[in-house]
Amino acid sequence: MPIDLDTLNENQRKAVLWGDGPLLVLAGPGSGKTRVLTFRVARLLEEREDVSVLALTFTTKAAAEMRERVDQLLGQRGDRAHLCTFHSFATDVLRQHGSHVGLRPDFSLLTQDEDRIAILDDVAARLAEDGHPVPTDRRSLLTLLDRLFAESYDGGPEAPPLTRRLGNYTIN
Amino acid sequence: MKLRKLKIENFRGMKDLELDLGDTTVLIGENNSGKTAVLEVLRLCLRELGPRRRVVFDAFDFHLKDADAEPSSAEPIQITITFSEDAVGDWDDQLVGRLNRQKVLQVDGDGRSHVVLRVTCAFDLNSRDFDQNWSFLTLNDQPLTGIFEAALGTLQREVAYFYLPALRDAARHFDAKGPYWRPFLKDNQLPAEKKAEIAKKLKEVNDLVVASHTSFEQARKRLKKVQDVVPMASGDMVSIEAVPGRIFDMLAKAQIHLGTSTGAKVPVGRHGEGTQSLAVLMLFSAYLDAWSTGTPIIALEEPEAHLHPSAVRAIWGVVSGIAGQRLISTHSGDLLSEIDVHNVRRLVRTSAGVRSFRVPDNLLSSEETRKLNHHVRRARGELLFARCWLLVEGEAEVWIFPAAARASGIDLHQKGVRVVEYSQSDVGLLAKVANALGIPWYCVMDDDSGRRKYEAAVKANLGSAKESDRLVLPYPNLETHLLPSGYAPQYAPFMSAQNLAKMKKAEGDPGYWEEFASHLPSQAKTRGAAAVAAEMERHGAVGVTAELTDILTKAVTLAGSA
Repeated sequence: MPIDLDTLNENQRKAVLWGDGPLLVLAGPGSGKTRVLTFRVARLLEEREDVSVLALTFTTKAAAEMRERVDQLLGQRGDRAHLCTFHSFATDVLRQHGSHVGLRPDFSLLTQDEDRIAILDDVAARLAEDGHPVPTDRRSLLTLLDRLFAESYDGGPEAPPLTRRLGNYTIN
Repeated sequence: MKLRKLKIENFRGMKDLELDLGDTTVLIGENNSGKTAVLEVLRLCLRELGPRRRVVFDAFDFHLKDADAEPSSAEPIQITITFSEDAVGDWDDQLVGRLNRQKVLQVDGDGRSHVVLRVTCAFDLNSRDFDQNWSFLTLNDQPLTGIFEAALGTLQREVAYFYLPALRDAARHFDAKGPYWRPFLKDNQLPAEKKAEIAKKLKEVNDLVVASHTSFEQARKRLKKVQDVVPMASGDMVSIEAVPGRIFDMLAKAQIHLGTSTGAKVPVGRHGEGTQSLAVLMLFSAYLDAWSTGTPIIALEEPEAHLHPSAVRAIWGVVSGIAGQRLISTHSGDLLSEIDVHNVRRLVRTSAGVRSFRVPDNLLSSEETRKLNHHVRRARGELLFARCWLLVEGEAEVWIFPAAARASGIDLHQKGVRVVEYSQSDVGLLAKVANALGIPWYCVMDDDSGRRKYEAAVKANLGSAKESDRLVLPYPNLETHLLPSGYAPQYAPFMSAQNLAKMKKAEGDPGYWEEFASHLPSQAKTRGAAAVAAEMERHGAVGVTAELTDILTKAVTLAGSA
């Protein structure tokens, strides 16, 4: 049963049916971006039995909604659609394949700032032992580090000892 | 998706066994060496095991290390099953996708995909019960977390495991409940109009049969009286179905009849054991052709059961034609003769549990493989079952050693010693293969000029064994040894008068027998040996020289150590 595209407007339909390489849908709020994506996922799955689709969202809620709508459109569970948030996808990849970079699958994520500051304290204490000066305001230091991580700052050859130390940080 | 590695820890006779599996793997070994256990453990893990964690092992599956051991204190059973790509891209994208969505797929440094399943079972002291768990692992043996229960089902669907045990009772297998026959009997393969047509015909046939059988009508009337005693819901409750009236019923009663030599058709269950076994194998193969998906793993226990040797060799054609990965256990040298020696895994029970031996893929050159095929595999597949090879030079020795054993009351067969002739073959190759398969060997060599030909090859393949446990040079040659030991009359008739005339020494002179032996025509050596063998058996143990006794004792000791 082909998916009914009649409820879509012309632009939406064009985006859903696009078949030639990558596609960026750029539109304002409430213009039906998610709807387009959902239809597109369903169409791809229905048209070709050999494809699977990875669809990533920002929130769990959005992922669940898309899942429901894709299944509805297909009239069955779209097993070949992998629908989840960016974060859970990244975590899954690290769990499944992290052993290549020395990560154990049973790692846990630190989401509370307090936990992260505790680790920072630990590292800072060790740096102090080695005779390196360490700023005392942990919270702003954490914000600074987060920004460096976000920019994938790897320290380079001239990296200060703190970043190197953090890069090697492992929980015993 | 092929099963490439199986590690079995603390299961039945196995303490720690690692097996690598090819597209075809043939397990050999004595009774109780664990062949069936291997096939069984895979059935438990790939078929029986379910997401509900119902324990599939029982108390006797635990490896009990001594007479006092109890399952409750035994080491945990741990089974690790690894599926691997042989080359990047062996598994198609859809398969990889399915495994990836279950988050169980692993990729190694070369880009090859793997899936590792581990099943463990241990006795839990708190609950006083067996605690069973399964998990998928990373390539460095760590359990993956966040795996859904459905992952196991996904794996089990991809690698459907089919196990056909040695007992192949056709009557049971061709029953409507037989797992491989039942699917053939499902009526949903018939279109509706065909069903209606058949049902109508069946009713006609039934009415006709019942009408022409007056005894049926009487039985029906009698049975109807039941209704007079026991009130029943509707009127005509008793009907006789001489022919199954409904399609599913008829299909359930469908029977296979095989023609006999006289042309008479006899139900398969009434044929001989061999035919039954063969018929079940064929059914199994037909079932797999019709219904299997993915790459099934076919486990066959002793496909040779009850078959004539020629039929055994022929059956390999059937077995190798079954699509999928094949895992076979056998006791048949004839079957082994049809199989590449690299596929053979020899299981040996040792004090440290069962061990597995194989000829590694790159051990033999193609020329050596050819020689091995010619001298051992095709002609003497049963050699691979031996516990010790007594390597001897030629036909004369093949006459003498078994005869000497019989004369001394040693049963070489029972001890598992096989006498193997090497002058026509390649002694180094035989030693190499025996080492790889974990078969101890003992080489008897003439201490003469011919020694140079073989000695280096033997010494190059000692492995970790001492030279004295592998090589003996008891005499310059067999004839020089036997002639002065009372067996001259057995050789004398084969000595030509012409050669006798060339003799320089007289009987009693030192070196007389050496000279005599050197003048023996070559065919006299084998003929003489056959005569000596017969004479030796007549004499009994007293007729066996000390040298021969020592060699036999050594071979038997080595066989016992394996």
